[in-house]
Amino acid sequence: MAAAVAAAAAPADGTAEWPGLLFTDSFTAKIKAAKVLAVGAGGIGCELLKTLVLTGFENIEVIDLDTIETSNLNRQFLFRRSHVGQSKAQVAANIVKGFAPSANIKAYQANIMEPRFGLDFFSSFDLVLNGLDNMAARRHVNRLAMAAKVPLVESGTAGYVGQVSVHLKDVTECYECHPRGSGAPKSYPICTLRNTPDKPIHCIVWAKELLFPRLFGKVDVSDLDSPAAAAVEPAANGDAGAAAADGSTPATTAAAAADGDSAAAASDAEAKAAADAAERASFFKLQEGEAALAYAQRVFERLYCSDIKEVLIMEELWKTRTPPSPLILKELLPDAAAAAAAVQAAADSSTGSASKALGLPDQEVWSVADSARVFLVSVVKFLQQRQAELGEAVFDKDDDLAVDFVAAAANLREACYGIPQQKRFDAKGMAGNIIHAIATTNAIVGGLIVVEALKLLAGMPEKCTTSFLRIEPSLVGSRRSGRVACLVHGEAPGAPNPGCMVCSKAAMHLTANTETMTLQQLVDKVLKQRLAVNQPYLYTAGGVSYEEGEGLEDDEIADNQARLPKALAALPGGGIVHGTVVYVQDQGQALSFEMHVSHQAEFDPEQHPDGFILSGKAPEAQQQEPAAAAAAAAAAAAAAATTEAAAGKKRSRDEPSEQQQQQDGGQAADEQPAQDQQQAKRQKQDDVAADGAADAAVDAAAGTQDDPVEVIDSDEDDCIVVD
Amino acid sequence: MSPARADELKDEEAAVYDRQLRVWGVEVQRKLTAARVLLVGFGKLAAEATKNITLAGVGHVTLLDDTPAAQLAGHNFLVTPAAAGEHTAAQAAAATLQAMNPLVKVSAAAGPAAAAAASADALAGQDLVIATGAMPLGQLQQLNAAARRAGASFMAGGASGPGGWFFVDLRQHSYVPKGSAGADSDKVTLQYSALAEVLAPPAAPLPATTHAMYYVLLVCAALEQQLQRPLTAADLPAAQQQLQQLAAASPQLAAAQQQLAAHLAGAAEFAPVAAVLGGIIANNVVAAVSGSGAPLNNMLFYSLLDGRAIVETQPAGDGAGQPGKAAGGAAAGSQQQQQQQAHEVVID
Repeated sequence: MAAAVAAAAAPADGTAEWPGLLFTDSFTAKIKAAKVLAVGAGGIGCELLKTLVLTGFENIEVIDLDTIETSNLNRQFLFRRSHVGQSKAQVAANIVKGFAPSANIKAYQANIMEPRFGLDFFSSFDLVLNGLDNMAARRHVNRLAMAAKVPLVESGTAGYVGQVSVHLKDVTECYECHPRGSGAPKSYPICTLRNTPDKPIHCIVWAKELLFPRLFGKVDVSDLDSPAAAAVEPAANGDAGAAAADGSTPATTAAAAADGDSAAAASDAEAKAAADAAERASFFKLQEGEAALAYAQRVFERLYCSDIKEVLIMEELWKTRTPPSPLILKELLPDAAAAAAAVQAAADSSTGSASKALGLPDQEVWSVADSARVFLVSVVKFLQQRQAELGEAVFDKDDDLAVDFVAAAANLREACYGIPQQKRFDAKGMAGNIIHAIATTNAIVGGLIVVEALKLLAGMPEKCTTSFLRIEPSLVGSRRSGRVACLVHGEAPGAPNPGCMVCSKAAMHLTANTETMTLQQLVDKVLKQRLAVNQPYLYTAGGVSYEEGEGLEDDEIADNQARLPKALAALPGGGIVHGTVVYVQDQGQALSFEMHVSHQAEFDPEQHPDGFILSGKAPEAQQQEPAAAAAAAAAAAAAAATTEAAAGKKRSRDEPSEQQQQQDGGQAADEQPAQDQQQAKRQKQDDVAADGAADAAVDAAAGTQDDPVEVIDSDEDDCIVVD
Repeated sequence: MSPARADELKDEEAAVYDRQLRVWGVEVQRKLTAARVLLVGFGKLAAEATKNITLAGVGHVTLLDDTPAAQLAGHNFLVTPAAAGEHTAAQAAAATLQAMNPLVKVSAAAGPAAAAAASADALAGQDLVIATGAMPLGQLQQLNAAARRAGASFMAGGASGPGGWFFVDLRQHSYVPKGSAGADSDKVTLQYSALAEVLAPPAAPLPATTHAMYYVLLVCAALEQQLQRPLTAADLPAAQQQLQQLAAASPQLAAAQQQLAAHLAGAAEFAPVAAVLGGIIANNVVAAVSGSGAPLNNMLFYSLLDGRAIVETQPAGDGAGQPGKAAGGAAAGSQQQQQQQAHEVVID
């Protein structure tokens, strides 16, 4: 009866329904009045801003930390050559105002993870629209959008494929309701890198992460230690986590342990390893009075001849593998005098690139001899032309000489191991973890974001879909209703996961060895790496506490840090032991959850290389039928969400607001370091990507099955971390 | 000490195009650089498509539309109010596009879009002609025929209100499927229909899945033909009547009626729809001029009603059953591909 009345009251011309209502005066006014936050002014962001203003949005704030680079210009169409080096957010806002003068766009050149963009900031918007390129920022924005109950439209692109999803507290799943992989960069077992590479990427990571820092950068990693040392990795190097700085070594150790080849002769080799490490450290130093070219030749001989011969001695490695063959420089460049003169001439040339100085193409695979030339020239150039950087140099994908060196060094190693060599172009892509990006995908995704935004603004979250852009049409529909070939199509978003630590009151469950896991490991590996907590504050009922973040006195910081090396069970305040409930909060993310701890002494290193198990577990009170509950809550909650957001002063749940204020205020003037740079990222292989790049791009930790395309536009430089 | 070889991209091209070279490779980029594309009619959809192909590096882009630029200012991101002045839409947009990518040549041709079909000069030397905007369907058919005579491929598209469409005629087109090694034996050849065939009254009842927008186009083409003039909003009752006859049994009838009303009311191009369609058009330009990857064969419809961009081959006919007919064979082939893709896509 009620339905019939409603139907009769609705105008017959479709202007009360989607999409007819879009073209009504009242909705046009609603668009005009809406306040929108666009996070990111890069590939997706430029398209999004343009489509927003052309759709009639007039109140937009845009945040992006980055500055414009030449390689952005093929798709970030708001930017010109003359803008290179300037703020993306600022330039984008200015250009958009140029063609849409009525738009009111506020630009921030800033990191969205800065505390000043807290709950109050998010609560002041009707919609949050993401055009981000990294997981950490996505998770952070998700947490704030959920806490502020502001609808979030999330997006990602890679090559020809793209995806747009909608996240609305209590109505749909949030961005973190289901695991999306750890977000950690792809890693490779250290033994494979050192002794038994079998893919190009292994050689490229070796050249970039191990060799480059050894020759030109800071060596605080003993990773280039001799093959013998590597072979006893599990025994000798259990603490390498400290060296690897990002703390991700357990995977390495586990991988090494799993590599049964290495078990032999542990103690002998241990002693040898220590001696070798010292020998190496001195070997790779430029000797007093040594000519740069002589040094380059000496290093070449060591890496591609004597080290290879040493690896060959470990016979057990080659029972099931093809053994490598050493390269002899004299055989590659037979006329030694002429070759030396040519290398020196190329090294002396003014161009900063070794391959350009030698006239070698970017888009073709070099011969082994040419790779040897590039190797020698790039080492000499570094020593002669970039002395100031020696000992400090860091690989940068935009540094031509660094790319020359890595491409050549990797090719030579590939030649030793019978692995296909790579074009410089592809080596650069793999070493820099460079994304594949085109304008069209971003344009389409930008359009799809606005479509979902309009549904949310119309108060019709039930119309929202997770939208997929395919590389080729995919068949959608049933045999009965008929199938259609869809290039773009949507699926209903999932319901909130009652076990989600972000958008429900669920608890996490940590199983760990509480007698050996330190507070440092809990904070770094569990809270920061796995759970993306930015500035953790944790405490227990017994009195254990730990806090990071601004607003702490020096002595408080010292107190907190003093606890970090302690084992969980040994912490003052009764320790964190079997059965302890740890309360975790992040003020900046308006995040708060419980973590239930169980003690377990041993872990299977293959199944749990991190040495702990983390799972989500809903408390009893949260158990309900998710689908039904969500459906019932949907319409009401959606309406509430928008109004609440507009009115919006929802506070973080457990913590007094005082501290929040303090943080907010204290931060504004203080420029936070860019956190994005090292943040974990996740990429999906582009279906048409340069073949070799696949290794770098594919993340082993895949998303869930009902998440068919999970992609991101990752514009920033990124490193493949060895762990 | 010689710098890069002749067949290498210039340093500047390599730097600017780096990210897309990683998607489609150097060969495709070279073919784009050599391509000449003419855009007839300049609105929001054209702006989206042209932006994308200019960024992609199509060597020579020509715009044809002498509408005063001032009419577009404020609604089109390629026309700034400041630059509108005395310029035509084509001139104002060409200037913005040229600044967007100095590595290509963007120019404005003189004359009205409507005259393109009759202008051998405008079409000469073009590899591809793309007509978007509010041109009568009859005019588009003439332009398609003229493009064929001039040896050019043809694309057309339109967006009005909540929906839009896109048509591709690559005459006979051979391509290397994505992921194949590129040997001659891998090549697939498609035979395309001209717009006149696509919009001819259907000989048999249309399949139930036929898109609402296709009915709208059929009805408008037939009514235009019958009245021998462009349609106006006043023709809506007649058009609805014809639609009722044509689509009486179709589950798409209601959607078609709504879209027809928007179409004849001259509903503006809606920015998000233009963005989606403009991206799809440009992807097909890249496929068409490079011979790499499967282009659409031959229509795509996008509607905010269901949020889908759907590909159809029209006229549908029963070509798949006739082994001798290239278009049918290709359609079957592409369907097979689509089926594969449906599985391949569900990874990660």
